[in-house]
Amino acid sequence: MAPNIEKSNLNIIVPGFGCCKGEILTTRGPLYDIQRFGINFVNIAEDADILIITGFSSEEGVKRAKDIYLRMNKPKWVFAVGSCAIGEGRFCGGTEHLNKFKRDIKIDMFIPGCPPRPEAFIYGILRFMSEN
Amino acid sequence: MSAETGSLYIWYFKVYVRKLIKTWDNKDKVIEDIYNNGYLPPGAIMQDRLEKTLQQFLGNSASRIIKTGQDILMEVDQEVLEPVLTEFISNPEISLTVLKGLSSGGSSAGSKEAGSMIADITGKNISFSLFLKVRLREGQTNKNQAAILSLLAQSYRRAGFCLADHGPENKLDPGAGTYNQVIGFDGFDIKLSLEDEIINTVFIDTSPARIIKSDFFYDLDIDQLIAYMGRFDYNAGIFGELVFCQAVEELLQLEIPKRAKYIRMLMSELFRMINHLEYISNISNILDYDIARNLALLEKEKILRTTEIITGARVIPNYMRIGGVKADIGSDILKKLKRQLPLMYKKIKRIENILVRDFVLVERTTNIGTITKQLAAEFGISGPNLRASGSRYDRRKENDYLSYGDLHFTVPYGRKGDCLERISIRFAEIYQSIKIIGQVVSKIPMGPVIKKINLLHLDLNLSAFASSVECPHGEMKIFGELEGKTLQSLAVFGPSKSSLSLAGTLLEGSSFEDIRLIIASLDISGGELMEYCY
Repeated sequence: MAPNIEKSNLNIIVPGFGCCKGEILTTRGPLYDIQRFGINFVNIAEDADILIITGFSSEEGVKRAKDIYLRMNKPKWVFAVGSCAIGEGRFCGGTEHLNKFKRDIKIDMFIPGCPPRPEAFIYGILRFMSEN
Repeated sequence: MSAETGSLYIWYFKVYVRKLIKTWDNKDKVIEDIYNNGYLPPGAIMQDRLEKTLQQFLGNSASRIIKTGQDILMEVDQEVLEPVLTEFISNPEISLTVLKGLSSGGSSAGSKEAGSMIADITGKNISFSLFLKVRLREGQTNKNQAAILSLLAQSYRRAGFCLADHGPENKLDPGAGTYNQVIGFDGFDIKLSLEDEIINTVFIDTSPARIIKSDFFYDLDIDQLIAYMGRFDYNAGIFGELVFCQAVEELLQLEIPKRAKYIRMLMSELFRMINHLEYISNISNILDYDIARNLALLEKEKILRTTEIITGARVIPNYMRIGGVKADIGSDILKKLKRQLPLMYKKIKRIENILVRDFVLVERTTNIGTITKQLAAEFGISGPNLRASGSRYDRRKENDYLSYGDLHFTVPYGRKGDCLERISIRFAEIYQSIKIIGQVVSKIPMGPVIKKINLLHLDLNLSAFASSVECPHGEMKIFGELEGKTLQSLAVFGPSKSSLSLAGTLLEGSSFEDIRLIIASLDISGGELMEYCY
């Protein structure tokens, strides 16, 4: 199941909106430059390897994220980013929100923070790459 | 001449000079007062007059009409809404013709009320707003909301957007082409039908942004709630906190220390620059100007570093407190900031030279997505988008809410109202922000940064609070009701929602490739679109 991730490049898809998404997308900028590790952000579900779940999603958002997960090609992984998603969030019902995903999807990595710094996101991804 | 008479002459001379200085100071003050009053109609008198006329005409149908801060609250039942709205439009003495925002106020879990809906209504020459609170009938909340929206849509054009958005039956069939995007648009979908790459019908759906639980504030104290207010505008996180703290301070009649006011101004200008630089990077990303995008992002990161040193967090600072700010700013940080300002100006000027003076970009962005002055007034748009279309309206000048009266700055405005004007106005606002920061750093007084009060023993009758600030997207308003220590309702009126409501009419008739450019040029923040879900 586990391929050699270090040699291939990873494509990330970030559905939804929110402060976590904003901070994740700043890693594309010149200062953090996540692309030097071979990591790209994509719009199309079929191209993606990693799905990122954030807390700012209504029931329709949860449905869409699950839809994207089904359309993704194997091997595929899921990250949960931010306090809202991990289970302290107040806006979207705390742990209930994560349980909606956990019924169907196995989550591989949790990145805490409200919102997590760009460095934290890069650290999480690099650690995931080194472990697999 | 003897020594005595000489000293007498000197004494006379000194007295004369002192008198001159005194009169000169008074003159300046008098001129300033006249200028401030002459600049716009004084709000308090207008507020009084409107409250009296409302009492006279609609006193029987409304359950209460009171002042809240600088605005007016009017509470009505759902049954009498129709005659009230016709009176608003047809009566020339009231003439409240502009709908600025709509929100369901949320409801605390303990309350027996069926829920409510709050509309933010103003007139064309009025600087404050009337919050119309409509209490819903018992029954299904969604159906009642749709009924209220259809009533509002008869008299206000802006409500039509919300109607299409809310009601499940009114959803437009997208037809031939659907256009859903994952990255780029935050918190809403655009569905449209095309004919030869020209857009026919547009349907904007903000249901993905309806995420907040309706009682999320129920068991929180007011202090704890400040941390969550930043999320309502996460692109410039300080403004949500600022408007909430300001509203509660107005309710408690608290005068905050002068140093705290200056620090608040400094932080809000820094966050304004951050938001505008993000905007510029977005625009240049869409138009494939990679150098400009990278330079803008680098500059943004530099400002984020300073805000991080001051507040301890990057985007959502949690820095404001009721009565002041969390922590003081050291003098070394201020000195460093002042040293950086000329360099910052130079670098942003360089970005402007790359972008706005390039004829390719000018050709690409002129006469696209044009907002006329009338259209902007009709949809209740505020902020840089309004100023680009030719009206010089700024809350900082109008309301004088922190110590902005002490500082010298101008309000930049454009004429055409197209995309290029909206881009260049952002640059002009950044320069004004740099000017304000320079003045704040040199003028900042010494003293305490917070007036400490004990909120544990707060015990109020049911009372409403409201306030507004000029955030980088426009005019951000808040309305809430407190009873005892707990909040009964809370509504945040973000300016992005009114500019999004205009996006539908702008997109109709324009070509398919301009969609991202037009919507990015309106600067829509996803946090302001957030709504309660039922």
